[in-house]
Amino acid sequence: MTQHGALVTLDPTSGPLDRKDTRKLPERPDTLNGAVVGFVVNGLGKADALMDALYEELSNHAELAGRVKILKDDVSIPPKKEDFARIVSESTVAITGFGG
Amino acid sequence: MTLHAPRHQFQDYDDFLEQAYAKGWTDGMPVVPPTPDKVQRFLDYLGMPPGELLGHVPTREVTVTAEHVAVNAVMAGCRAEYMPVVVAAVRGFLEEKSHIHSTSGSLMGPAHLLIVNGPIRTELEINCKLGVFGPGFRANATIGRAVRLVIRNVMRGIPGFLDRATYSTPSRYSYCIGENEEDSPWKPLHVERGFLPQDSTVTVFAVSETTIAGDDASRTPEGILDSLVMYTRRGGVTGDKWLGDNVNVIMVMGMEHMRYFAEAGWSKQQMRDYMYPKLKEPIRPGEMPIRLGKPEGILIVAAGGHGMADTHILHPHLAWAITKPVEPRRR
Repeated sequence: MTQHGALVTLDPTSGPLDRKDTRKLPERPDTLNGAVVGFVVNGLGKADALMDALYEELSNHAELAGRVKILKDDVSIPPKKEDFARIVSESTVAITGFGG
Repeated sequence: MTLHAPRHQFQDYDDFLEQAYAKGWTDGMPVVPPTPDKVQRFLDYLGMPPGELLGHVPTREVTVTAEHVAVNAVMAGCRAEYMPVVVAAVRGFLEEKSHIHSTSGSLMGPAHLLIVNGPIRTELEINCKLGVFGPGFRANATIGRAVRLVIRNVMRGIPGFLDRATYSTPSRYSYCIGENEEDSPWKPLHVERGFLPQDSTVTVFAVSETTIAGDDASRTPEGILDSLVMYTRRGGVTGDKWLGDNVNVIMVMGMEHMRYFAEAGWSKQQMRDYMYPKLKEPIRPGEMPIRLGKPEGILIVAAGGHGMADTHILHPHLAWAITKPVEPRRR
């Protein structure tokens, strides 16, 4: 910043792009054996079929304990709070897909 | 009322401009220096405190305040008198169902169109006639640009950073029109959406692509609408007919098509009722249905000049059309 500048302006941003992200990814399980797999299906294209196929594929690699599948009410908006709560409380790991 | 944004000092305008480019504050075009005095004047015009919250983007941990919008509106080249429209547009953009991801992050790279209705449209000389989508009109250019600069600078929608649009679109420089209420035989868009004719509003809508439906042969409302149905079904996102549930499609109709409906006395609702079942018919087995939940999802807007017998069909991208009132100044 120039100390003797003739023109003063305001910063148009909401902060630096490289601001520190304090969030951390949750711990990854060593195995999916015994895991309940959560799926958030965004409703785009054949996402529902893709997630089903993914579950079947994972079943070939681990002894899964079941699944929780969330279908969004509308592809235009995020899952509901209760959907997130269900995924968190009932599943061991969760998979989602976004795009567009 | 204290302004909160950090301040920067520059030697002169040239120094400011080069630094603005270096800091990534611009869309590639020159910007106006957002001096504290000028930003304060924009806020004073509204009578709005700098810290007033206009909305937030939870996934980006960003809140958008009146000051953020004023700073970027100054940079875009707005007049203070445009601020009520810019604020309404930003509020509409930040509605959940407006789906900000469409135009700030998605691969597909749509752009949010702003449609201004009501008296403020003429007060601010927002173009709604010849060349309506093009350059040359300060209000259209700078109001649309102000919203894009807010997306870039405040919501961090920077290409290659959070904006991942593969090709993007020139509509992202600015995309703002008015409805030609004076020459239209129909109720204006905002009145159809529950506002009074004397209200001013901004409708915000994420457009994935535009299909130009040309038909200079038909001489009847039915003939023109059949063409619109054909073009509408043809456009949109392949395999995912108009991404999004209960979405809208906007048909911007100019003078040449509009006059046939005026002469025959067709309302917008009659046009919708004619087109809707045809839009919903499956073309062939297995084709995904168009996700238009009801005839009212088709929004018809009068705009454009004389000459081409076209209607511009604006296909949605995940979003609903959101209409927000332009609030009167707080004195």
